[in-house]
Amino acid sequence: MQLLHFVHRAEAEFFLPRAEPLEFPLPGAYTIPGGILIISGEGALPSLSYVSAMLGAYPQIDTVIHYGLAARLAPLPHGVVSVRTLYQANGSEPDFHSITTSDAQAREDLLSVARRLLDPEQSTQFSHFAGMLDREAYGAAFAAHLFRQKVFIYKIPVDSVENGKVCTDIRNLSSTYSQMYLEHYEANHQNAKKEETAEIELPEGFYFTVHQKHLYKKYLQYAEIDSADPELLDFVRQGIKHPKKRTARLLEILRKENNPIEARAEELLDELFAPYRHKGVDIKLPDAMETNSIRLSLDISRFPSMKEAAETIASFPREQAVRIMNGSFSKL
Amino acid sequence: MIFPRIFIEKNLENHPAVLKILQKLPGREIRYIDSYTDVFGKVYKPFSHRKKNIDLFLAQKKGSLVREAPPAYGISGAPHYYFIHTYNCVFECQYCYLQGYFHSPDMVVFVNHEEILEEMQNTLAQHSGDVWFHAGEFSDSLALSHILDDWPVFWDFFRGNPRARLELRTKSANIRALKQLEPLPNVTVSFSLSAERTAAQFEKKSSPVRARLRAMGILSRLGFRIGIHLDPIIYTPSVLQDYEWLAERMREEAGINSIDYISIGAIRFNSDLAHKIEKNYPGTRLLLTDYVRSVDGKLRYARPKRMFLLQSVEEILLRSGFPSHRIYICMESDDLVYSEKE
Repeated sequence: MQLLHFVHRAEAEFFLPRAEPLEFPLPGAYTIPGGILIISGEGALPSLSYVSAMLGAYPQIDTVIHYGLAARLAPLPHGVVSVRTLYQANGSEPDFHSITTSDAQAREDLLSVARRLLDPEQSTQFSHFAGMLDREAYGAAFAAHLFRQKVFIYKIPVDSVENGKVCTDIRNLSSTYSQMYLEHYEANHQNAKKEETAEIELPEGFYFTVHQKHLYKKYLQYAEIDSADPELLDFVRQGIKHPKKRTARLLEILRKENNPIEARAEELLDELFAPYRHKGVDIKLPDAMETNSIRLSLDISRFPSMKEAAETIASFPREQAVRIMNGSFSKL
Repeated sequence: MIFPRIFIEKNLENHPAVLKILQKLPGREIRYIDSYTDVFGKVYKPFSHRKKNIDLFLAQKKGSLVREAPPAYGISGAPHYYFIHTYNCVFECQYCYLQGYFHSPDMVVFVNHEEILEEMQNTLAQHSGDVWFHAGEFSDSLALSHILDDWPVFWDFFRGNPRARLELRTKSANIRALKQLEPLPNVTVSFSLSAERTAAQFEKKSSPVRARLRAMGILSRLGFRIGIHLDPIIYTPSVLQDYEWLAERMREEAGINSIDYISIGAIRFNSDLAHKIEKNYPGTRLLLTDYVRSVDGKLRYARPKRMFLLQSVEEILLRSGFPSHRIYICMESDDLVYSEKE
């Protein structure tokens, strides 16, 4: 569901014929096909409050779309411009934090300021950071960012907002701008198909936790395949009954296939340790084999004598194990 | 257009280095500012802004200009320092720690070379033997050298200070500016090389490996000392064959004797960089493989895998005729690297 945000009623004019007032404690809220439209009024705080209130009240909103005017600080394309990154300044200097919109194709940046800007020197200073200036977009984007929802900011850059005459001209043109917003919205967002997320198909007869699903997907992507080999799946299904255990085994096989060097090291260590494990020695390797510390533990009562237990430990091939952990094996 | 806007610190307006750079970058929008720090890094400018265009800042570096290099940085036995003459790089290597490092992808070029050289001179005076100075910690040393024209002034210093050794690190084949300079015995141009397909996949905008090899060959024939960094080594099923090919080409192009050293290192990064890579290059194959947190906190291939790769590449180099004393393993714990050799 979309949330369309406007600052002035006149800017939303072309959207309103299809809008119905929404019963909501805040005025200026409407339902429209596919979402909600709000008119917040001027300034960062109304913008932030309105968008936040709507996102809190309607968790089904997944996209915030803002349309409005901006003062042009640099040469920009004509018409509706999509914003890439938003900055904000409460005083004469911009804040460090920025918000990047969901439009990966956007190329222009915008700075939201607290007050209308009338100082040309200040405007030059701000133009180092962004080509457009407004007062509301950062608030809307901040709310969307806070709620982890997608955000698109669209602006029509106007030449200047530094003098009253231009402001009057802009008011007179608001109907034209509203039409431009509607055309842009219809072309880019109305009936927009939901982004198809590439979901992997999980094999039947296996049980995947979220983490395991992520791993499975990662292993398939790394191997550049869409699904695991059916023969491998059958092999695991036939060998193991329990779906959870099947998944663990499948992931282990895929991990080894993608990491043949590690798999070889593990195989060599298993071979080396087999006679000791057979005698009941528990062998614990260091985390990720990053150090040389190997822990052995055994139950002395399982050995005929203390001497034999001691000899078993003394004969443990530690150096060979360290060599393997250290990658010193030649054939894969 | 590269660098559509150039920001210049006001006090450098007539600095010869600035005027020279401006001559080579005509038609740009010039903006004068008090200090580059008023704009560069002032706001968080996402790395993705590189897709459009990045700005250039011409500035004066203040504070520490020469810094001690991290351990295992270069050939052991001599002190290693790096000096800062540029921030950020025009290349886009997916594993590079510079992405997001300065909170801006814009490039800063420091033109107060004299002060950098003065600090180098002071550093040199603190030691009795050779001292290494590395360029390229925060940028590629040669990528823009034809525009910045910054090496001649350094050449004068190194010509007069044979104890001082300079390393210019690059992934570029841009040797136009270097060819105008005489080779010095204490200056090494070191090329970072990867397997060809790995470079094509993960080192966007840098020169193709074959072009780097050719550039290396040209410099070698002109008498320049050469260094090679086979770092980072990234695992692919054909990795060993790829490095065999590379070792042969290195030998053919530069010959054994003009190569002063070859460093080898396996891919590694910290968690912060991993997040940045994920954000900047969604879905990259670089992060589809398994990493472990190593003893130093960095994410690396599991020890058997990375040590196998390092040892195998070292063996390939030895088989190609490169002497073992010129090969060193970079950024691995000494305990691991040398336990086998002892």
